[in-house]
Amino acid sequence: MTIRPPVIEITAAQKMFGSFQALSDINLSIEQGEIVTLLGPSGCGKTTLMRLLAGFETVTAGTIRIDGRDCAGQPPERRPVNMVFQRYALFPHLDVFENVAFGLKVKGTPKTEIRERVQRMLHIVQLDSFANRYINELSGGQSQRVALARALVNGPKVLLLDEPLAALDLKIRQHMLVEMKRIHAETGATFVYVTHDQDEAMILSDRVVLMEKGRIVQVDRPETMYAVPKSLFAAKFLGETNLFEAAMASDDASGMTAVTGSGLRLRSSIVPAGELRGKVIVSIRPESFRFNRDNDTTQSATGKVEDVIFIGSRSFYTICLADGVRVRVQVQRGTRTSLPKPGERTEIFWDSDNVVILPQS
Amino acid sequence: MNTAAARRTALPFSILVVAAVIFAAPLVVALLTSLKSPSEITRVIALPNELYFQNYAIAYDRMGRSFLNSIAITVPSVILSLLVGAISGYPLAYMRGAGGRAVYFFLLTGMIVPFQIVQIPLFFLIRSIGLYDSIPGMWLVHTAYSVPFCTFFMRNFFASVPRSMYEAALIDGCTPAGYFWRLLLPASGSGLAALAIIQSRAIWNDLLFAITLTTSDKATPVTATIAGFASSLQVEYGPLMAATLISLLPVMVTYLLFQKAFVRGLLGGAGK
Ligand SMILES: Nc1ncnc2c1ncn2[C@@H]1O[C@H](COP(=O)(O)OP(=O)(O)O)[C@@H](O)[C@H]1O
Ligand SMILES: [Mg+2]
Repeated sequence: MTIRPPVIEITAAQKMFGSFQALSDINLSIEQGEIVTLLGPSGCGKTTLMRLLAGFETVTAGTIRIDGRDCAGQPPERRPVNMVFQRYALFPHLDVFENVAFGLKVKGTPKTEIRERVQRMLHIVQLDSFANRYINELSGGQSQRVALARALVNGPKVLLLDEPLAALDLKIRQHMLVEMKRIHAETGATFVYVTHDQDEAMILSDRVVLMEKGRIVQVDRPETMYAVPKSLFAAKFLGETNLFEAAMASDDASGMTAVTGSGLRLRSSIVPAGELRGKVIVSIRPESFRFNRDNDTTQSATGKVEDVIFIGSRSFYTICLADGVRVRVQVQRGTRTSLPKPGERTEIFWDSDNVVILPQS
Repeated sequence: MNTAAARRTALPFSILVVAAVIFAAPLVVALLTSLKSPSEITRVIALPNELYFQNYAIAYDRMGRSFLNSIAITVPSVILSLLVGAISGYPLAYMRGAGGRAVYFFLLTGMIVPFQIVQIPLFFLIRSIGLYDSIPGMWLVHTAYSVPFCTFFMRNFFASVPRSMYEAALIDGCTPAGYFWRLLLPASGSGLAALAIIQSRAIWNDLLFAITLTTSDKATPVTATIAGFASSLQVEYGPLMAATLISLLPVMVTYLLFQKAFVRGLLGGAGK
């Protein structure tokens, strides 16, 4: 693997709007060709960070380097970036071809080259036959393809996408995500993608940057972030999970066992990010539980099946443990073992590598 | 149409019909009067016995020149006032911060200054710069007087155009001026059309500036000429009504031309 300098390097960046701190202590580096998503709830500063990269806002403190150059004072058009906006950034009085050609025209690119590059771009986004349509004659998905082409035709090193699919309905969104990956592969640009939708982030990203209240709380590959969240916020934000209030076991020097109020011992084989002591929260995903003791299953508990929800490929069981704590268990359709029925008592099993012990806040 | 829907629309529909009749009545009376011979003219409501087109001939004879003056005053004044409104509305719509707001509110106060207050000073001003009784003088006055409203209108229209369009253009390397001429203005057709109708009507119908600042055939617009019909010792209603109807035509034509865009412009939005 060759080592290239990161295409984006943000160091100790801060952004204030008046006295409001929108971003604090942002450190992030992004490699050439990556798809990185900025994920977090609405208002956590994703758009602001993106606008800092684009050059529409300036950092209050810290530095941003793009392609090796400090971009303090550099206006948007001088940066090797382009942007896909959430909606409405297409020019309504121009047709698709003219929309995509606009940036090249402004830069005084020769006509024949414009024609070539626009046509190649329209081909990549699969809108070859739409060149002469007006924007109001396009569907939402097609408009977003035009927006992608419009930005990518300028050959940016980094493409910034601010919730580009938020206005589309689910089916088209899923399709566009696949398309987005293909277009990324074909163009080789670095994608920085903003979303508040964890599914989009998981499907799309090489790495997820999880943000909360103007800070980056975790940067990891999607699988890692899902399996080993480093905070309660991360555990709750990505996917569904069961949370248990517990305290660290005093008899376990390795600091990997927590005990709930009712005495249930939850042992984790995941090395915690920091030192854990006193009260903690334990997170176990619903799909980590099983109804059968296979191989060397190490932990178990008994409870009563309260409820079963069947949703096609999966079923969700609500199990009420002895102390009244409820646990959600997810079972994939086609599981061979015999499954308990509502009202029955049952035993559930889980492995220590699915148990995540987290600090309380 | 099903009956429930019919019942629901019946009341608003009848109110609209009544309103339409009230608004149309003066026009109908004017039309009837303009087609009556002098002997019939006092029977206001009655239909004319036979169509008497002489009134139109008399009217056109007397105001033909001023009709052309009105066109020569209105068309450039409308174009100029739209241009000034757009150019000054653009920065006000895009500027953040208190400075822009202060300028904007200062301009708005211009809208509440009535014509009559400036009438006499304006007369001396225009005379001293040598534009009294001239068509360019009327352009200047109409354009200047339109600045507040046109700025207000265009600022609000531009503010409804998504800012991301501006940023998308900037990131592509377009300058703010380039954005204005190449993208914002061409994309603002509906707003400009709406304002064009409002301005055409206002400038075409202006009487006060006309009688204050024009005096001869050279520059007097049709409104002042028609007013002249009524101020002679004997009011000649037939030619007066004919002249009025003729003078309405250009505004109606303008409205019909821009009608669709007008409604869209009033409803705001970037025009879907
Ligand atoms: N121009 C601005 N002036 C003042 N506050 C702003 C401005 N832009 C964003 N903010 C504030 O910064 C915070 C983060 O906003 P944003 O980056 O848009 O969040 P996100 O995109 O994650 O939803 C919000 O509380 C927002 O109100
Ligand atoms: Mg946002």
